[in-house]
Amino acid sequence: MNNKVYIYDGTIEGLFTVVYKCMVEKTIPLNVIKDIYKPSLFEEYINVDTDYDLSNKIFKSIPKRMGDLTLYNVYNAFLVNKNDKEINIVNYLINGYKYGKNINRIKDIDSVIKVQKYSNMVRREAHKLKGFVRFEDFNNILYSKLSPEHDVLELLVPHFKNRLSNETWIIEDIKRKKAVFYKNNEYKLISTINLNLDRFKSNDKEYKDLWKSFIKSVTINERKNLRCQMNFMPKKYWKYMTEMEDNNE
Amino acid sequence: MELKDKLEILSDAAKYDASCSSSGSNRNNKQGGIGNAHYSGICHSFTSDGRCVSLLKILLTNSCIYDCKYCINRKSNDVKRAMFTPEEIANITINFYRRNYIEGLFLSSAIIKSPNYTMELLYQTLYLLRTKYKFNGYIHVKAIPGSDENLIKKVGALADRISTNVELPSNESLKLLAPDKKEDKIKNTMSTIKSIRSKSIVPAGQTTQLIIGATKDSDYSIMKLSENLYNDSKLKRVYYSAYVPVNKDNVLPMIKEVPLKRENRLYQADWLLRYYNFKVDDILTQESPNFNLLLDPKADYALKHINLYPVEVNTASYNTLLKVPGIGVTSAKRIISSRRFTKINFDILKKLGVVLKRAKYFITCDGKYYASSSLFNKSYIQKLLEEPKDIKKVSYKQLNLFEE
Repeated sequence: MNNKVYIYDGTIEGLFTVVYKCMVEKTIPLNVIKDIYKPSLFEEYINVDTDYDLSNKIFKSIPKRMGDLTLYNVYNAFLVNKNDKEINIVNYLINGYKYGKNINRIKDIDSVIKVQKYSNMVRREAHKLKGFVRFEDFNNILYSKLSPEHDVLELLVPHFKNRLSNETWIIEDIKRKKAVFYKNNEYKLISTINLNLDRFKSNDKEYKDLWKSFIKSVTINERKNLRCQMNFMPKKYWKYMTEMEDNNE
Repeated sequence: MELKDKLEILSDAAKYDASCSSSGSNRNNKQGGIGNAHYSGICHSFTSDGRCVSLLKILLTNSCIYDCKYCINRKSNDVKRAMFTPEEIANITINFYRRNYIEGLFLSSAIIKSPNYTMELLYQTLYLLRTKYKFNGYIHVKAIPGSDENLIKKVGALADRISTNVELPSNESLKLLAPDKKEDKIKNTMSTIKSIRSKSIVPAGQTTQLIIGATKDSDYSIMKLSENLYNDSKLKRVYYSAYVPVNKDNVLPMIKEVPLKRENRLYQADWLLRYYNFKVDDILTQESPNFNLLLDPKADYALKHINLYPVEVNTASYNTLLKVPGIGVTSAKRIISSRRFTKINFDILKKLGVVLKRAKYFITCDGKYYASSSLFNKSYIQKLLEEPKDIKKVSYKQLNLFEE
């Protein structure tokens, strides 16, 4: 039984460095974690320093050996809000080097199923939020707040960059205290400890009210089905959605 | 009249149109423009009736020269009338779009003055959005039957999707309830749109809508019509809208509840036609022309053809797998690709996304049935799959109607 627990720095490059080590040493780790919070006598802890050359080798070999879908799955799964994502990604890639492009068809390996599941969870949340993001106009700067389950902020950037290319906009992840700031075809990722746009006054009441009354009048009361509404639009997203403002406790 | 009042009247009047889809178009944004279309469509909100809100769905006007019996906007009704200018519509669309409220515009209209006059105004609105405002988001527009072919073509060049509502499933029903609408005009409009469709013109295709339960038409005749529309007119979607009684009229049926279950069955069957390689005659016959409201059409089919089951998942063809209740298009494809590497058992089926709760009655895994094979019995399975009749729930819903 293997007892090696790798500790990495929380970046995807760090995780790829762990994968490299495991491949070279031919070990299958017991776990891969960011911080030790409950040391155990029976585990051996190995600190892995991120090595960009090694991680780059892994990064380049994944699409070549296992196909683009595998790299896509790894990137998405890395954004999931689950504490066993690292060990599953590492095991998925170790198996990937063994099975090559067939890896995504092999359904009796747990890590394959898990990584695909996590990747889908992230992809789905990002897709939902493409619809649920609500901008408020602050003097021609569009500002939106989110509190997503998974770390999907950057996945939203290409989408809004395409459609709102002529606007200036900010999307802030309240939970992770970061935001993207977009202007003139470029975007920056910024930390937002002090960003508090609410202190500025928005003059957006007119369109907010129009939107709310639109939503109200397209509802067919004879067909009321709140459970169905919540299935498609879980309550956790309501907080920052203009039309749901009056439904929040 | 204030913009807000107009929006209230003209979105309220548009809400009975079931479609809100924004899919099927890949329109790109252009330099200096705003918006693009997302191929699979995006839902931006959900109303408390559980329907997706993707497009700003409004009427240009609800003033109508027609008198269709079932329609809230018929000329004999005493309702508040309003009309947008093309500029107003373009302005709301852009401002909603910037705030990511919507994916685009779904513009429909009552017939004001004449079909051509109405269609011309719809064209002006689209033209304004596409040129002055450089809007490249999704636009779904209604074609008004009876308007000039050239006008329809001009609108088509600016829209992502056009729909022409068939409304009622037979010519007799049309004569009875929508005496101003003519079947041949609807058909002509549809074939004009079919003739101009290309990758850049009406890229998301043509759709239509049928009202369910306002007339005596059977499910069989409705589904046959849909099958024809898909095969001959190359429609992308047919939408079914359960009849909501908004008017009183002696030619209209007296109904206690909106036929939502029936609408649901029609959608399920519609899916079977489009994705599961079923034909209408597989699921309905002239002798039993209506759906079993207690069973979904696929389970109903399987039970009627119980001699074709159970199916061995390790060897069955793709088409056979598709006909198993609980196995969908995705899971059937996954079964085919996975079984090249492993023998499929019940555990793996679950991981592949098969709904075992339904599928287990109709399959074997490596020769094994989920239970003793003596339980493979039509009436036994039927009992297990039938949905309970929930009479209490329905009457509760009816009460709700008057509260708001």
